[in-house]
Parts: sequence; C-alpha cells; structure tokens
Amino acid sequence: MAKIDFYDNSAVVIIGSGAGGGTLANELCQKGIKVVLLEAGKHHTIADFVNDEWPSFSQLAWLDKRTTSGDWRVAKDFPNLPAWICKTVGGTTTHWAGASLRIQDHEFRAETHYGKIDDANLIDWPLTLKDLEPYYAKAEDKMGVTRTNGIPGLPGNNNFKVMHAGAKKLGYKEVHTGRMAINSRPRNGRAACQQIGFCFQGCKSGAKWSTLYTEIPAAEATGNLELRSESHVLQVKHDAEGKVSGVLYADKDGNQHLQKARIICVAGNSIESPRLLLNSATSMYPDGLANSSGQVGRNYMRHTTGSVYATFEKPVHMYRGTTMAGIIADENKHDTSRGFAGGYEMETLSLGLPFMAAFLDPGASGKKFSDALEDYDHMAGMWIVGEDMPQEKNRVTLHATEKDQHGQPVPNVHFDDHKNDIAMRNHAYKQGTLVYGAAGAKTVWETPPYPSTHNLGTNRMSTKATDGVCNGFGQTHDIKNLFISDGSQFTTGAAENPTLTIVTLAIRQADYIAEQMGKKNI
Amino acid sequence: MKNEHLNRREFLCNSGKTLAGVVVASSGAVTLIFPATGWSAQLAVLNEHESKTLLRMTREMFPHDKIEDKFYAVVVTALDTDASGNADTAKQLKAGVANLDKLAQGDWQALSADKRGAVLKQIETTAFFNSVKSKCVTGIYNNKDLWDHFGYEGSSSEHGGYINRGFDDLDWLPNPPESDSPKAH
Repeated sequence: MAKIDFYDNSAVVIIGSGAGGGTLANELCQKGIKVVLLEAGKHHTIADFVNDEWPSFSQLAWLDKRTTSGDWRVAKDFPNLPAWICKTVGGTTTHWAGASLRIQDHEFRAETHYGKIDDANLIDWPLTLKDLEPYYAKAEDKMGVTRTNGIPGLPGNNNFKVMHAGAKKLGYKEVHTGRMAINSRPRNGRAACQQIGFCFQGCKSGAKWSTLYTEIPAAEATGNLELRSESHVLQVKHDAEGKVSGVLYADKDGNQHLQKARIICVAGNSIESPRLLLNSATSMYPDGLANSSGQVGRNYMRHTTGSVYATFEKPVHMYRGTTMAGIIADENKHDTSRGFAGGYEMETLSLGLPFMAAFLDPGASGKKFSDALEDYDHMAGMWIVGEDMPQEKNRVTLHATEKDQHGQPVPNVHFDDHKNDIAMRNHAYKQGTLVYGAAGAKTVWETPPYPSTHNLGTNRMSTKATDGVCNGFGQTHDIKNLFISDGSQFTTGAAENPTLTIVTLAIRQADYIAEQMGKKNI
Repeated sequence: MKNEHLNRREFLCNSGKTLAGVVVASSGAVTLIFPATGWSAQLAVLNEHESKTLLRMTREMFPHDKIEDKFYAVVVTALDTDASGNADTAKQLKAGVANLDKLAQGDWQALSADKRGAVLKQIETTAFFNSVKSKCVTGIYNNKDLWDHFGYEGSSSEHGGYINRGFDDLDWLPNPPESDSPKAH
C-alpha cells in the first residue's frame, strides 16, 4: 500500500469506499494515478461477518445520528434511521443483494418520455444508454454478473419457486433468477455461491461482488492506493481561486487531519455526500460547495419500494439461499395505462425472523401479526423496486441544532411520496398479491418500504448548470476538480437496482479524470 | 438476594401451558421463577404486581399459544434491566402498569380476555405501550432459543450454507425450467 503525505497535493482523494468510491479508486490506481481512499467505517474482513441480523446490523450499518421528516412511514417508525446503508470498508457493497440491471434507454430520458408531471422535477440525463453501453459491459465483466459474459444464472431457491409458479400462472413472461453479481460458478478468484442466505449481512463465501475484497485489494496491489479506514471527512476545503484543495477529516481517535489533494471525489452515498458539500460552506460558497444551482441535497429519491409477503399451507423456508436471485421484469416498462409513469421490478426477498418481526408491519402487535410470524417458515416474499419521481422538496438538509460526534450538523432526510409513487406502489402491491394468490397463498401482507437502501439523486447530473450539480462525468458544474462519484449523481431513479450503474459511471469517470489530468485541465 | 431470604410465597401466573412463578423476598425484591425448567431471574425495579402485569401484557401483545411463559419473562426481565439503569424508564413502566389498572378500574389482569384487550387498545399509542412492544420484538423474535419454534434456522455459513441442505427442496409447486433457474454449479 502506498503512503501518501498529508501535504502531497498530487493525489486524488476519494471519500467513501463503496460501489462508486471503491471502484473509482481501483480504476484510477490501475492507470498509475495515486489515490487516498478515505472511509469513515472500520476495515472488516469476510471472517468478521456474522449470519445474525441484529449483530451484523450493529457491525456494518451507518448508525450516526440522522433525522427524518415528511409523510413517508419511515419517519414515523424509524425516525433516526432513514437509510439502511453501511459504514465500513466496502460501504454498502457489503450489504447489497447483488441485483445488477442496466437502466433502460427511455429511463435515461425521463422528461422526454414521461412528459411534464406535476410536482416532479424531471429532466433527461446528460448521457444516453449508448454512451454507457461499453462501460456497462466492463462493469458486468468486472462484477461477474450472471446471464452476461456467458455466466450462467444462479439456481433458484424455494422463494423463487413460489414467485415463478405464481408469475407464470398469471401470465408473466420474463421470470428468472436474475442478473446477479454473485458467482454461479467460481470466477476471478472468488467462490461460487453456497446458498447461505444472509446476503445482506456480508457474504461469507465472497461469491457476491463487494469492493471490500475485489476493487480495493486490486487497487492496493498497484502500489498507488492508500486506504485510510475510520477516517470521517468533515469538510472539503478550497483555495483562493475556488478550486478544491484538500479535505479535513477525523481519525478513529477524533484527531483532525488535513489531506491535500489535486482532485476530490465525493462518494459517501446520497445522504452523506450532499451533507458534506453543505457542511463545507465558506464565504466564497455560502450555500455549500458546487451548489450554485441550489440543487445540492434536493431531488432525493429512494425508489418506490414495498414488499409483499404471503403465507402458504406448505413450507417454503424462503430464507434459505440467495436472497434476491429472482425477478419478474414484465412490469418494468413505461405504460401509462396502468395509471403511472415509469415501471417497476418484482424481486425475491426474505428477511430472517428478527428483521421480519421488525419490518413486516412496523409498530404492529396482536394476534394477526403473531400468527403471520407463527407461519414464518411457510412464507414467501418479494421486493418492489420502481422508479420514483424526483421532487425538489425531497431533500437532505443540515439539522438546525443536532450535531454528530464530531460537532457537525446531522443530516435531516425529508421525503414525501409523489402521487405517481403511490399509484405505482399500489399497482405493484396488487400484482404481487395476484402472483402469490396464483401460487396458493393463505394470507398476504403488503409491507411498507424499509429504511432506504437505494438513496439517489441529491447531487444530480444535468446538461445545464442551473438544473443540477454535476455534468455527465460527475464533474461538478461549479468546481472542475470536484467530482460526484456515487448514486447521488443519478438524474432520475429508473427502476433498476442502482449499483451496476454506479460502478459503470465510476469506470467511465476514471477514464475522464485520467484524460483531463493528462491534458492538465484539472 | 440469597435464596434463604426468600419468603416462599409463590404466585401462579397461568398461561394455560406452563407453571410460572413470581417469588417475592421479604425485602420486596422479585424473582421470576419457572421451576419446571430451572429458569429464574431476579428483578431490580419491578414489584410483584408490575412484573405479573407485564408478563401477561407481553403475551397478549404477541400471543403464541405454544410458547412458554418463561420466554415472555425474558422480555419482562429485559424491561427491568432497562429500568434499573434509567429512572425515566422505571417511572414509565410503573406508571404504565398503574394506568392499565386505572383504566380497568381495578386489577387489569383480573378482567376478562376481551376487556383486557380493549384496555390495551386504549393505550396502544402511549410511549409505555411502545417501549414494551419494542422490547417484545427483539426479546421474542431475536431469542435464538425460540427460532426452532418459528422454523428459522439462523446462521448457515458454518454448515456450508444451504447448497446441499435444502435451498430448493420445495416440492409442492412445479420446478421452473432450467432456462429460468439453471442447475447449481
């Protein structure tokens, strides 16, 4: 591993080691560019992961204080947990389920295809599917996505069998075990999936792609990376010209350090990334860095999620095996005859008993609830993942009074459902119920969205500097050596699980940064 | 508190299945004891009436007929532990029980099942109810000793996952074609 001096101003500093930051670090290091990778969380290994939901949650989740507001049920049930994302080396790639779908052409041009939608702040992405196709191909190869590159699909588990039987009876056509960044056979030095379950708790076999044991060690092997874990960035600093020049961070003992930088890439996920830019306000940038548009923190999206669980006469044991290797893709289209714009996926999902009790119907008690859990091993489940509308009022702001352990204002996450989101969710609940009904369900539960794992849009890409925070390469419109490298750059949410696109954008961004460095533009 | 100091008054707290006991020492300290299983726990804050009320309340909030009282007693013990470390929690629990009796116009436990349920319904938005509920959600469903009852198998990686242990053993629906669900490697 490289050792990069605090005063060395030639390196790229990346904040966050998840799908965006971890991938970008490796791509830059492979090109011979020096990188300091700062990660707020600890450096765990696969051996540390535990197949036990609450202890794993304590180990991996981002639990620093956050607040919530808005009409979403999360604000009532989990007021200090807007998101279920991670604070650990590898970020949320330790926790993600592995579903790897390309965003569709029409989704990149949401404004063009959906037209004007009241109260939605829709614009087209400043890039197209065609621009991204070669990078999607690289990402799929890097991550080992099943059903691409000749990699077979995963074998379906019991939960998938129920989904498949119901979906086919209902007439759905595209139903299979998904495109998953989980090895169906050994590949790139990683094992094949052992059907452990517990995909959300860190993959114990390493079959699931995570930057923790792929990109980051590959970057370290180049000799160009210095990874600093337990390094929580407090502010991005700029020079008199307005270019960013370094970051102030706190180490594990709370000691503060200033790391100089040539280029800074922010990849702290869609709550921390805008929070950091807002917390970095100065007299030159009184509204925060890269915020001349006023869009930093706005257009927070979380996908129109929800779950459908059903109980059956006979056992299912849905928790056995790969959590999300199962998809019904037929509803992922733009067909307004259904009463909403955009589309959604239905994907298999299960929770262990402890989390099922916490999330099936948060706050519920009584016989109906107990009876559902009494049937836990006879239960099948699916997750709804659909496109939600960007709204300016849905935003991450700095709390007026609450401070974190470093004395920085905590983020507040405000979210109100758009009427399009509600119409889509209701449609998906109905279809999910029909799927399980066709498979013979006894009872069906429409489970509300969990704390968000797909956090998107709070530093969005735009063609015009007045509409968003960064351009199609994630380079901020206002400060040319400051980049956004995570899902916060998404212009719209699309209906696909976002990690593949975050990785794709990081690979493309690395090419752009190297080119701009070569030209001495940054 | 030593056993020889116990005043051997024992109160049956009948769940219909198990003999559960609340033993009170002369000092007033309470021990939850389940002689048949050898399980017991000393309480620091809750008195006899409060602990018995909470024992019944937790079962009525999350009724599982085949689960023994001692597992609900684990929740009561956890509430007592919280109360021993936090005066506000102690106050909330004691006041919550008192309020149940007030709404019952007597001992809430002595009401009929329907009436007990109706009183619980009246308090379901209170902080007291929510505290007890949260403790139940973890105390019951995150109790590894109960996972077998629910058919949850817990940690699997040390057993090699489910690749050879039934991840796809469901046999009451047709198997998907290999195009949709390929064979395992």
